[in-house]
Amino acid sequence: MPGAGAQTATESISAEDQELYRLERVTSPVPTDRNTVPHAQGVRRVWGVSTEPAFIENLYANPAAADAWRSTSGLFGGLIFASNEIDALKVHAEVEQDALPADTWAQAYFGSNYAGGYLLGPELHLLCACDVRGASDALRADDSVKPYVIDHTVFEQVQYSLADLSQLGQEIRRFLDESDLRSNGYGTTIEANVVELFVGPQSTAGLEQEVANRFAGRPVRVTAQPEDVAPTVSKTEPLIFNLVEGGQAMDNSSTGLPLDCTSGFAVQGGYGPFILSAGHCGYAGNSWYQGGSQVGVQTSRNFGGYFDGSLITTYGYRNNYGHFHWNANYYGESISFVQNSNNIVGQSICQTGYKQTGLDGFNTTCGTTTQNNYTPPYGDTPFQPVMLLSNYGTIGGDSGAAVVWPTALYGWGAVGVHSGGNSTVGVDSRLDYILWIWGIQLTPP
Amino acid sequence: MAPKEVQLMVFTFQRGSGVRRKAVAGISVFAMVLIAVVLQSATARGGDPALFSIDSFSAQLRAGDTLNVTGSGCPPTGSLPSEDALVLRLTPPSGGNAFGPSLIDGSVQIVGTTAASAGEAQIGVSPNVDGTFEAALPIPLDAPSGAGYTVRGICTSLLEAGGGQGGFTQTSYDSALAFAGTLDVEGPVEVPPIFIG
Repeated sequence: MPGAGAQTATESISAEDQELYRLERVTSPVPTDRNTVPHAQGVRRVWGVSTEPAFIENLYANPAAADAWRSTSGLFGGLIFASNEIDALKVHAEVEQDALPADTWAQAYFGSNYAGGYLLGPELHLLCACDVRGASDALRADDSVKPYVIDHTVFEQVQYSLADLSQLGQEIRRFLDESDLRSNGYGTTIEANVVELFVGPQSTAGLEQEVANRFAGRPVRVTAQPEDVAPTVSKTEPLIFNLVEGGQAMDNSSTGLPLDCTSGFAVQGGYGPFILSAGHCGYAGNSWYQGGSQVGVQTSRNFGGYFDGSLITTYGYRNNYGHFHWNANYYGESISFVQNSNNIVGQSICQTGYKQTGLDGFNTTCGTTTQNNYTPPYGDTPFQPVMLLSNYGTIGGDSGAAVVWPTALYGWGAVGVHSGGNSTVGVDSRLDYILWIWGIQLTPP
Repeated sequence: MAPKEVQLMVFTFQRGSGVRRKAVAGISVFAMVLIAVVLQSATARGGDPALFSIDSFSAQLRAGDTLNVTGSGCPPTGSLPSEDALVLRLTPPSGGNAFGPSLIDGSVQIVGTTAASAGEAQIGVSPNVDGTFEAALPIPLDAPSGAGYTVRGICTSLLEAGGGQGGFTQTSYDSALAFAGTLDVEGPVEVPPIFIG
């Protein structure tokens, strides 16, 4: 019987490695589709092994002859690999295992100039928009990072910090939203030190040129993709895991209409989870639906005084998701903070009502808040002069919608619940008042 | 004598139920009969030409038709700027959205709740010089069949800035609102099937 680490004539990978990485031979051909090889190439590049298409195809088609293996635990990126690639994979895996302390160290050491880190083959690359001379010695002096990782760390000087690229990403996103341009989404590509915008067949024609014009001289790269890989979800479609969130079109089954109002925010309190919407949209006991399944039953209605709000208990029906539907591309936006509406006047806020913004949400509807002491001319009882008035338009169906404040630095702020208005003004209840008076809080993202 | 008493009665009805009860207690049984007839035959508030009112109507129409609405007491111009001197809104039997006038930046705007509401329609109207008006109010294509549609109106030219609801004085606010009805919306016309063969 061979000892640990020994190899027999029939075992091309040691028994120790087989056990440690839970490896098994692949003996039968593995079905592939047109995405298999491109996907494998991408993963293999990162792991530092061959990206040759013919080699990869042979591993799948003739695994026994190619001496193909894989980890039953999904290690090594789930790759099917040849036995002679195991050493390269192990190096990458071990660097990856202990890379986090080095990356954390780099963030602290480089501060606001930190430009990210990435693994490629056997190396950990740490980037800075600064002079990186001396960084390697400084890292070596840090006890929290294993010497093995330090030996495989490469420092790179780049032009843009991660904060620069994040800021640029927000600008691109606003540009796309405000210009109603459709894309496959964008992301920061650390390795290339750029923001990468992806376009597919259904993306807006001429988008590449539009972006080139708008962001000339900025680190933006447009990459064409063969498919529209970014899934779109409308405000009437259900989310996975039976989730329900703000900004979705809802149906009150008591009215006979297909859609009645828009959801505000996912909230929770001592009585459990709720979806917050507008009070005038329904009455206690009404059943509400979204995406073909029940959101829950309305338990509360307040239409006058300090706010126009309702609570729909989702307990036993849906899972509360502390996010909101901005548009069909960004339908799981997280909320960073609840805005204190005492100082919201003069700020630009946006409503997410399904009617005005459209079921895809692409008709972005924002305006400036002009009053935080407005009294609307309606209500079961007179309103106190505490409502928000803004100069954005609204149509029937928007009521209850999440009203949010987009900020470049801090993300989305939750401002209010849409109540009413007309084609030129919007009226909202202050979210901070509703949360305070009803003793509830936003469901954490 | 009787006509005077009826006019008085209609006026007091405009001013609130408490005043109305006192007035009713002081008039003859004969006049009360007349009053009852007036109230049943006209759901519009008031018959005094000096006050804003929408003429009573009773109609049976289909979605896509137009309802002719007439009335009086709404001057074409007022003391406050507004987009429309008169706003008429068809309200479905379910009640539809709440709405009202609101003084925003010195101008009168109609502001309402914004739930989806089938059968709701709103138009702006320019009254005649003498305060009368005629308007064709479209019955929305999504109007569900049913009885009990009403027309509500806000005469913005009667509004004066003040500290009351919506930023207007209570008297002007009350006198600027009126409603009339009722309208029955019938089901869609059935088209006979086409037989081929």
